[in-house]
Amino acid sequence: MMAERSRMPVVWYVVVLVLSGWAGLWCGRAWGTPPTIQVCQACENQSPNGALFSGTRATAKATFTSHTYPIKKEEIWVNDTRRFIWEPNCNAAPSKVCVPYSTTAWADGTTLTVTAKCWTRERTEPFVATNSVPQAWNKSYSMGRVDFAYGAYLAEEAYTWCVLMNHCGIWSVSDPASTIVGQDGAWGGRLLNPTVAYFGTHGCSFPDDGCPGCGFVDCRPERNAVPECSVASATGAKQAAGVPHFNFVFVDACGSSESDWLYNAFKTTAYMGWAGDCGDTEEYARWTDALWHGFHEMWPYYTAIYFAYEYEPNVSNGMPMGDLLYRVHLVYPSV
Amino acid sequence: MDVKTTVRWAAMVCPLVLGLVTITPALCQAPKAEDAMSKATAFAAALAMPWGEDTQAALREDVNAARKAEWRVTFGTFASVGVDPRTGRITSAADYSGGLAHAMAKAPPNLDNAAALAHATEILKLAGLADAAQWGSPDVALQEEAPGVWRFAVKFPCQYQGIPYRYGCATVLLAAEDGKLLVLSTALDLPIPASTAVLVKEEAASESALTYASKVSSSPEAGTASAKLMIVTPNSYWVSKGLGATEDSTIARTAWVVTVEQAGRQFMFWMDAADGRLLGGTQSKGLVEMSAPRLPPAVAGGQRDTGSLLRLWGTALIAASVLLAAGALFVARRNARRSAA
Repeated sequence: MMAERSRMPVVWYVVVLVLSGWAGLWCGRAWGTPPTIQVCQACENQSPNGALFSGTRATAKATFTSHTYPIKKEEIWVNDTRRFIWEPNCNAAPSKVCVPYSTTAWADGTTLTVTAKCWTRERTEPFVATNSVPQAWNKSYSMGRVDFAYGAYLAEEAYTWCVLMNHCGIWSVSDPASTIVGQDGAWGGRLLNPTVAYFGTHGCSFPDDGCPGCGFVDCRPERNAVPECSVASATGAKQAAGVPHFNFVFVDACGSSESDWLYNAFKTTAYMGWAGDCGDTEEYARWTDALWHGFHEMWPYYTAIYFAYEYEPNVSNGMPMGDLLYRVHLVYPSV
Repeated sequence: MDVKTTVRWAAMVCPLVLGLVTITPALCQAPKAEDAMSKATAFAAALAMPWGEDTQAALREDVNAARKAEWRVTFGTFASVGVDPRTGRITSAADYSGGLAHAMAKAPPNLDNAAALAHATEILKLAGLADAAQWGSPDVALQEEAPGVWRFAVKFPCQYQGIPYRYGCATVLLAAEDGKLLVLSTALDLPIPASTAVLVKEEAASESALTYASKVSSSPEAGTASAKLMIVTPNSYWVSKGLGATEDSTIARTAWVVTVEQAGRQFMFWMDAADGRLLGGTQSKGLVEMSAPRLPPAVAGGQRDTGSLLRLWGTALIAASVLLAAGALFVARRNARRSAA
């Protein structure tokens, strides 16, 4: 009897131990260590103040680490658009995911939030991590000479198309009696923020009056001199300030693409100018308008150029430089 | 039927009949997307363009000053072809996989001007625009379409009774390497001028233009003027500067297009050839001392220079032969004189 009595607690201890172990395991299944998600975005494309540059291939990055149970589904969203999805297949869930996207898809000033979600077998609700940056840096500046019939028109058109492409735009007309530098206060100031720019003015393409590598506004001091060196200095200021470089610059002036001086000075991804003479005429205005239309259609640069030629037969001297595959208004399709 | 009933019936039936009469011709002439797509496909096939069969058509309006409406037939993302809904002619075409798309693969020009012109003329014929090719003397230019990428631009100007239009032409852009069509663009349906009478002399028009130029320019320089007779549609370019008055821009006029070069600027004044009135004009966005156009490497010293080299060689041979002959004659005469002595 004694032996039986002494054995009973042992049995109970074993039973309790087994039950508690089982309960522990059961609880562990339900409340085991959740997966960890690390999210960042556009790490290589951020300005010093953390804002995103426009038109650059920003990247949303997420690292999923599962501690307890395998991940069965992963998603990455940029604001309200899903950019990535992984669901069970033969392969294991990727632990690191990088998703490219373009900030031109959102209006300037929008807060861009990358949300990474993952699901495990044991939970219907996703595990979520987010990362937000203050704004997309889509800014444009367009300027036309006030004494041109199409000066103000084209400057405003450029502004309108840019706004349609989610850029925060500014446009102005220049008074021919004063220099652009004088008109706009500080030339560098005007060029500091924009990533897209249009200038409709007079130009030349040859070293003139001690102004080597003359730029797009008349070389001679009495005629609004803004030579290529001023542009270079302004873009240098951009670089120093850590603000975005130009994505697209159109210098709508005679001979603006006779050489690559201006293209190099602007340090822009894509550039448009004229080889030879151009007029303040309806046909040139239509061609320019068609080019913006092509950008708005999200076509590559060369497609927009051919579209403009197809549109306007009287213009055939546009000379593009830079990345001809570039899209000013690029929106990646949703997954 | 009494009068009242007749009137009532007439009031009901007449608008219906009128409506049908108005709509029927429009319905009969309604442009059909299928026709445009088959025209565009046939055009692509005739040119052996690899654009595929995936076509879509959309009507677009007010394309340019001459193309008021056209079917824009797109071949996927590769190309687009414009078809005139009234005549079925091809009014535009663009190959988006053309030279600029492969700008990295820079090929030297392989055609010459004559071959480019012949090919462009052939393309116009295939497009149903054979008449456009015969209007005036076409302009063929080898152009750099992006740094290091060359194309031919063949422009067929529009003219009426031998007078060229200032605006309007058919332009064909061809890859300089193989003559492949890059872009065809037209502005051909232009208004006929009210009159072609030229009652104002060229000198008088130039003089008026110089006077106008002195009013818009602050430069004390007199400037130089050159005039060309053209057909223009008036604009109000100089009205804001206090010159001339607004003219009817729907009526084409024969005008002296006077280009005034003054203090590095180019101003254009359009003077009515019938009465000397200012009809409009424009100004260039540049200075007149433009640099010389860039030439492709092949033109500068490649295969295209062979002809001139041969000509130079031939000239040198002839000169050498003449010199030798003269020398031989001189020696023969001297020997003869010596032997005679």
